[in-house]
Formats: sequence, structure tokens, C-alpha cells
Amino acid sequence: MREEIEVSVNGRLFVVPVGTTVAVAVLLAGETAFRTSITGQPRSSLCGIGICFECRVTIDHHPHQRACHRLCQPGMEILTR
Amino acid sequence: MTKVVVVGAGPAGIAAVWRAAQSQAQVTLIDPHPRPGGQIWLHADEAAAPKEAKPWLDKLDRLPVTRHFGSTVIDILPSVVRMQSESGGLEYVEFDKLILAPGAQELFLPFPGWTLPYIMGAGGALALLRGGMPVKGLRIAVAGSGPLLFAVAGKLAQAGARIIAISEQTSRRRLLGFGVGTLMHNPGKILEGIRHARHYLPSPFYTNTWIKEARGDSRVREVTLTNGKRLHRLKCDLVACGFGLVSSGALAVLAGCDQQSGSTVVDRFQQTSVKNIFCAGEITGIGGVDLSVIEGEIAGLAAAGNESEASRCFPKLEKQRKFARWLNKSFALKAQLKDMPDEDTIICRCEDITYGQLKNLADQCSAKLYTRCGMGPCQGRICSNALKFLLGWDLNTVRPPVFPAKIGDLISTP
Ligand SMILES: Cc1cc2nc3c(=O)[nH]c(=O)nc-3n(C[C@H](O)[C@H](O)[C@H](O)COP(=O)(O)OP(=O)(O)OC[C@H]3O[C@@H](n4cnc5c(N)ncnc54)[C@H](O)[C@@H]3O)c2cc1C
Ligand code: FES
Repeated sequence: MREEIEVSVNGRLFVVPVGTTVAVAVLLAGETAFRTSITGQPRSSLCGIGICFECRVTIDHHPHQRACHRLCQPGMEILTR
Repeated sequence: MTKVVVVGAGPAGIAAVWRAAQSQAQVTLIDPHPRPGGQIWLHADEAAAPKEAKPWLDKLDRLPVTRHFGSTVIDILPSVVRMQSESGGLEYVEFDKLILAPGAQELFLPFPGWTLPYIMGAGGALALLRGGMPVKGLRIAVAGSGPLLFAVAGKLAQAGARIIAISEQTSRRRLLGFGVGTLMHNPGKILEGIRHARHYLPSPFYTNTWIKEARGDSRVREVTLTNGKRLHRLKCDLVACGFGLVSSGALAVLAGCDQQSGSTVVDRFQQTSVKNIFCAGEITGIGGVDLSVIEGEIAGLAAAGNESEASRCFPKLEKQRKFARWLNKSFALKAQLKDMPDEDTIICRCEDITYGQLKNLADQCSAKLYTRCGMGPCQGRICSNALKFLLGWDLNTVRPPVFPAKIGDLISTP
């Protein structure tokens, strides 16, 4: 069994395996949109490797973090928009 | 001791580090990920990393190398690179020789509906799978072009997804030609292909076929494939779509290295047109992991001044380059793909600029001036490659920082 840690996505708590990226934690939380585009469309992860910036979320109060690039840490607070 | 800085910890970067360190250079390695491996050797779970990766990762572990993981190079100045750490702080690293090995990215071509959630790159889907994305039971259409599609279909199916279609834009004849060429130049890849196919067969496989449109609400629900005549409408939960790879050239362009056909030009020792700057791996052209490794070895040796050892790698290099040429010919993109976007299809996803707003403009510069196309956070990394294919626009200007940095950080480090 892989170890698990707890993170919060939009205020709700979720348990994810160690090594899960923030992008995947957002999907596991059932969110389909990571951000809202400037014309109001829901957007989600495209490239998975840190170049498209579609997966931007707020992590521990730091806005505009690329969720695909970061691993979940215990107690991390993730907010989508 | 020669100070060698290697940017990118993929196969090319790791091979370069190993060879340079072996040749007594003082080596620094920089990569934005928390661990080394790049696009194909990086895995959340070490047990899941491909077999070929293990000896390289072990080798890297034992080398006396300064590592900056979680850091991204954002600027190159004469004999220093400027990098940004995950938390935002900026640092300088000095070099005598610089080896750029930032790899490649997928080519995304826009079609109606491509901005819907759960439509992602083919390699993008793999990257998310690696990050723990559950796909069990999901109906997935894999589309676009290139051998990566087979690997993607295989790995997603292995993880429990239902592959409802694999749609390759190239013709059956070219694909068969690719098979023959692979058998000649790189037979090991055929076995790899069979290993993947075991998981996704008997999923429907279409050649000469591309995406006409995708529909959905909060996420994609349906995708329509076409060969220009017939339509296949399929219900789906995820679309993994990429049209091959393009070199990630921003750093090399910034440093002033000559470019040709979208990649950085190098000589036999992987030396670019700029003194003391070398490039290795897919930044010099798309050719797969084996070519990246051999280029990395040559760059590492040459940067450390060990040219005689480097020249021993030339025969292997030539063999892999042949394979690369074959690969690129077999999956050349057909002109019909230029008709995929309609007037309302968004091209620049950062600024939501449509094809209708762009297609009558003269070039990328006017597009920036009139619409802000390519001026959002991704700095045109997605749309400029698409526009190059769709309208023939060439964008060869890159300004620092090549990835967004906070103004406060830029000001506070001299
Ligand atoms: C999303 C994706 C998935 C892929 N999956 C597969 C696969 O499953 N199988 C397969 O055979 N091939 C795959 N490929 C092809 C693969 O890229 C090549 O075969 C091979 O990995 C290229 O090696 P490389 O060392 O040149 O680059 P990469 O492996 O791409 O490594 C480059 C590294 O440089 C880093 N980097 C980039 N810019 C900077 C910067 N400014 N500062 C610091 N570091 C930077 C990157 O984050 C990356 O870690 C994939 C490609 C992509 C884009
Ligand atoms: S998915 Fe593209 S930057 Fe994260």
C-alpha cells in the first residue's frame, strides 16, 4: 500500500496517495474546472507538463500555481476558480 | 575544473551530466520537477518507472552533482543562467559551458470544442496518469498523430480505461512504411509497440482520420471523428489528443542559437551557433529517447573537453538520426488538418482569441498588437505552434523571463 496524505480542495478534505499531483487531486475531488477563462469558460489541464498554464490554481494562498507541476503535501489547501 | 550547467533532467540531460562528471567537470543540474526523469523516465512511484530508466537514475544518484530540482531557468546571460525556485525566489548559476536539454512539447491543433475539460494532450494524459489520475472505466478516444498515440492507448488501457478509438491522421500506407523502417533501424521499438498493443486491442483503429468536433457541458461528452467524408460520432469521457511533438526551443532562441525547421541547429559535438552553449535531446529535433541519450552523452563529453571520446558515439548517433528522419516523414501532418478550426474556435487559450479574429491578420506581430494573441501566461507556447501550422506564421522572438516570474522577485535580484 502506498502511504496517504490529506489535502483540501475548495474547503473539502480528501485523502490522496503520496506522489499525487495537485492536478490529479483536483480531478479526484470531482472538479472539472481548474480555472475560468477570460470569457467565462471552464478550463482544465491540457499539457500535463507545465507549459499551457490551464491548470492554474491557488495553493496555500499562492495564486497562479501550475497544479500539474506540484505534488500534494500534507495539509495543502487548494482552491480552483 | 570546467563548470558545466545542464538545464533539463530528462534522458538527454541525465546522460550529459553523467558523461561530463565522468570527464572531471563540475556539474550542476536544473529541472522544475521534484525529481529527475523528464517526460518518460519521471514517475511518481519509482516502481512504475520504465526498466531502461533505472540504471540511469541510479547512476545520477551516485554522481557528485549540484542539483536544483523544483527550479526553472528563466533567462540566459553571458556565463550565467537565472533560475526561479518553486517558491518564486531567483538565483544565478555561473557556467563555463551550458548544455540545454529542455526536451519537447506536444503540438496541439485546435478543433471546435477543444477547450472543454477532459480534453487533454495525448502525452498530457500520460503525464496525468503518472500523477495518479484514475481512468478505470473511462471511455477514452486517443487522437492526433505519431507513435506516442500507441503508447498512450496502451498505458491508459492497462490502467483500466476503455479505448473507444485510436485516430491517426497519417495514412495506412505511411504507417506501414514506418513499421518497416522501425524494424530496420530500431527493432526494439517493435517489441515495445506489441507490448502496448496487447492492452488496447481490439479497440477500433482509424488511419487518415482526425477530430471534426467535440461537444460537452462542464466536460467533454462526445467526439466526432472524420476522414473528410464519413463521420464517426462517439460518446466519451476523455479525449487524449496530440499531433506529435515540437522542440521546446525558447531558451535556445533566447540565447541566440540558430534555428532551423523549428529546432536548434547543432554540429557533430552538439555545439550550437553560440560559443559555449550546447543542446541535446529533443530541442534539436524529434527522434525519441535513444537519440536523446546519445546526444546527451556527446554534449556532456564535448562540454567537458573530451572530444575524442565523444566522437566514438558518432556511429550510434547516425543510426538514431536515420530513425528520426523516418519517423518524421511517416507522420508528416496532412494539409486538411488546417481546416479543423472554424471561425469561433479559440486558438489562444490564455486570451480567448478565436480563429476568425486571427486568420486575416498578416503575422504573429500584428496578432499580438491587435488581439493580445500569445501574450498570456503561457507566452504563446501553445498557440504559436498551432499558428505556425495553420497560417505559416513564424515566431522567433523570445524575451526573458521565458516563464512568468513575479515583478517583485525580478526587481529584488540584481
Ligand atoms: C507530455 C509528453 C509525454 C511523453 N511520453 C512519452 C512516452 O511515454 N514514451 C516515449 O517513448 N516518449 C514519450 N515522450 C517523448 C519524450 O519527450 C522523448 O522521447 C524524450 O523524453 C526526450 O528526452 P529529452 O531529455 O530531450 O527531454 P525531456 O524528457 O522532455 O526532459 C526535459 C526536461 O527539461 C525540463 N525543462 C524544460 N524547460 C526548462 C527550463 N526552462 N528550466 C529547467 N528545466 C527545464 C523539463 O521539465 C524536463 O524535465 C513524451 C513527450 C511529451 C512531451
Ligand atoms: S496542464 Fe499545462 S501547465 Fe499544467
